[in-house]
Amino acid sequence: MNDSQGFQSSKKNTFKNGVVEVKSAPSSEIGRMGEVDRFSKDELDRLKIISGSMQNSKILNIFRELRTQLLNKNRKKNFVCMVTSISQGGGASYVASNLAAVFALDKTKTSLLIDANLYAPGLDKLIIGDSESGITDYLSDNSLDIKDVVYATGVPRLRVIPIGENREAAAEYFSSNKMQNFIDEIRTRYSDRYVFIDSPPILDSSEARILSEIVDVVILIVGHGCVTKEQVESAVQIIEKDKLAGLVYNN
Amino acid sequence: MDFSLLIQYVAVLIKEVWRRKFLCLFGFALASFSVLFIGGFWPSTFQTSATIFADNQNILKPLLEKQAAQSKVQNQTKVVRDMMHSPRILKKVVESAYSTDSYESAEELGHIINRLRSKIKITGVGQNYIKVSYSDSTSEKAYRVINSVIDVFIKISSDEQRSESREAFLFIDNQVNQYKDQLVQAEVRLKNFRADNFDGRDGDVDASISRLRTQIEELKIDIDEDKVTSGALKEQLSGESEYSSKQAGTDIYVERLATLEQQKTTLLLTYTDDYPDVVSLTYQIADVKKAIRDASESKEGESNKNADENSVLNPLYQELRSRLSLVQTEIQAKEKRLIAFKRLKTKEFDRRRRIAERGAEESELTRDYTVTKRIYEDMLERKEKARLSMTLNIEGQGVTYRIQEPALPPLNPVGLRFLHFVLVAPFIGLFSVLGFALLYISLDPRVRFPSKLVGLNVSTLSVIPHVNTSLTKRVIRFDMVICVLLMGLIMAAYVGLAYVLKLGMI
Repeated sequence: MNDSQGFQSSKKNTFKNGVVEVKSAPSSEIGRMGEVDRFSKDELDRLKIISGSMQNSKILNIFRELRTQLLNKNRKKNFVCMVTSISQGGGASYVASNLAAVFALDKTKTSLLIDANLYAPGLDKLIIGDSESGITDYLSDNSLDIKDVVYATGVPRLRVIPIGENREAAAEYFSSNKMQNFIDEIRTRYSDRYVFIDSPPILDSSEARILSEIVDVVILIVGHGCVTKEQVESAVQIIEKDKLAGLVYNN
Repeated sequence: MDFSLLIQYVAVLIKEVWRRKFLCLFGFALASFSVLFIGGFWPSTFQTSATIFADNQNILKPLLEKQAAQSKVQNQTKVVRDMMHSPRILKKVVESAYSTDSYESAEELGHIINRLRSKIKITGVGQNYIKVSYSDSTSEKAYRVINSVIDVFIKISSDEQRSESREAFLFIDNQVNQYKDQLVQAEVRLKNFRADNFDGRDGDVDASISRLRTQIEELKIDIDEDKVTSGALKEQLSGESEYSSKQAGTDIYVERLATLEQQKTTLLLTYTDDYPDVVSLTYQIADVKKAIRDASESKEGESNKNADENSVLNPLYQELRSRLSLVQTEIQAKEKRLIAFKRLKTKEFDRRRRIAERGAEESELTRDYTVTKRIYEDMLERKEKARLSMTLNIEGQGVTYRIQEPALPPLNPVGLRFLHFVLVAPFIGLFSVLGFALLYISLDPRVRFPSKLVGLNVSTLSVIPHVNTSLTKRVIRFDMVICVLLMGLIMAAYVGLAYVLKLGMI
């Protein structure tokens, strides 16, 4: 509960569109998560984020189905899921953010989206306002607390940890104990929180492989016309069979 | 299943084309313009055709009917094709349709002839009608060459026809001369044969023999008759005495005297004694009287000398003797004739044998002569026919080939024209772009269909369709406008270029 408040307290002064501090004590943990301005329909559309009120119900249903599959696979328990494309241009960030958004649609769940995409970070755009530090800063700087890097977004119940500025030695940080502890903590702190990590392409970076070892579930994104079947096969072999939830073909 | 796959393919195709829209536009323009350029310089072909009628009459056929076996008439189309494709005709065509200096070497002429040959098409259209087609780069050239081809062909075939009829005439003429020689020889042989044989024919000999036989029979009967006569005369003669009394000698004078005295008496009734006739009669009476006296005197003298011989020769006996002698002479003559006839008959028999012996030879000669004569006369008749045919051909009356449908100068080119290229080029551009895109999709190993992921040992959780934001939609719209504008620009340039090329062609 304190963490939840703490998440917001460090950010409250940086929100451009006014701070909605959740000072009062809500009845549930989720309720205590500070909420900021919501994205308008147009903004959601521009950011390609699904919402319950979107007109294209087809895409919404696809992600809902995906959510069901993931929940079934993990026996309804919360999990840390890495979303990685096989090579560049696969659309892992899009799938990761929408997966997080579709989990957040459920009012009993929250989702946390971690931007680990060192080479093409892009989740900042979900944050309303500026972000100061991210996951890399947290891992390299012991003075930072988790709550210092978690930012609210324009989507209800969706939080984002951006990539941060200290990206040079990311591979080392990701393989550090601190990273392991961090993942454990955010997974265990709230049982209704679902964590999604947007990782770099798995065949192009060692970071993705490191991350795949510490997460619970991995989703491989096959971008349309981006990879060969052989590349898919080698990517599948890299990831532990138990963790690999499956492939998502992204047009 | 197949249909959905097709839909997927089409969707992927459109996606790929859209992704590389400017490249595709460039490819489209390149292909279209290339085809247009090819069309601009594509040689147009003008085709014209003429129909000729082949009269299937062989001049030797009626002439040598029955006399000689006819060779079978060949396929007219093949004959005409062989003739028209023959170098001698094509060489003449080159010389007449082009100028004589259109080639420099024999090799060049060979090439020109080969080109012509490949462009002259001969097809049979129905019985004895042959269509000759020719195509060339210009209407005028096509017209000129086909006319030249037809003219040269008809002229040469007509010349050949003439030479054929002339040869036929010469052949028959030669035959006629040969038969004439044979006939003359046969005639000479027959003449010589007849000159060497005077025996005449069988009939002549038979007639002669039967005549001789008749004559011999008749002669034999005559001889028998004469012999009977001779026997009778001899018998009569034996009954008559050689001599009779002398009295009988003066009786004549007495009778004479009586007659003369009667005449004198008659005259004296009218005339006197001195009338010359009476005088003459008086002298005559005196003479007779003197004669009677002389006779009596001589009879007395003889009776004195030979008392027994007081009789004269018997006249009947004399007569019989004379006739007997005559008959005997005739018998002798007739017997001589009989012998002569018999000899003649023997000769005739010999002659008949000789005739029979040479009859075979003669009939052979005659047959030879007759047959040769008949053939000669027949050939003579045919020779006249051949002469007529030859004359007809020389006057151009009996030409075998004639133009049924003359060639016309072609107005429009055949085959692919510039307009076709202009119309087809954009489609070729479009299809080549699509074709290349399809080829790219097929050959590129990258996964473009979710179905490709089925074989892997991991499940596909979901297929996320492409989502356009309002921004990307606007961008797409903008791109579309740009593309349409570019397309318009390309088509305008295309039409302009087509127009320029068309003008250039004119």
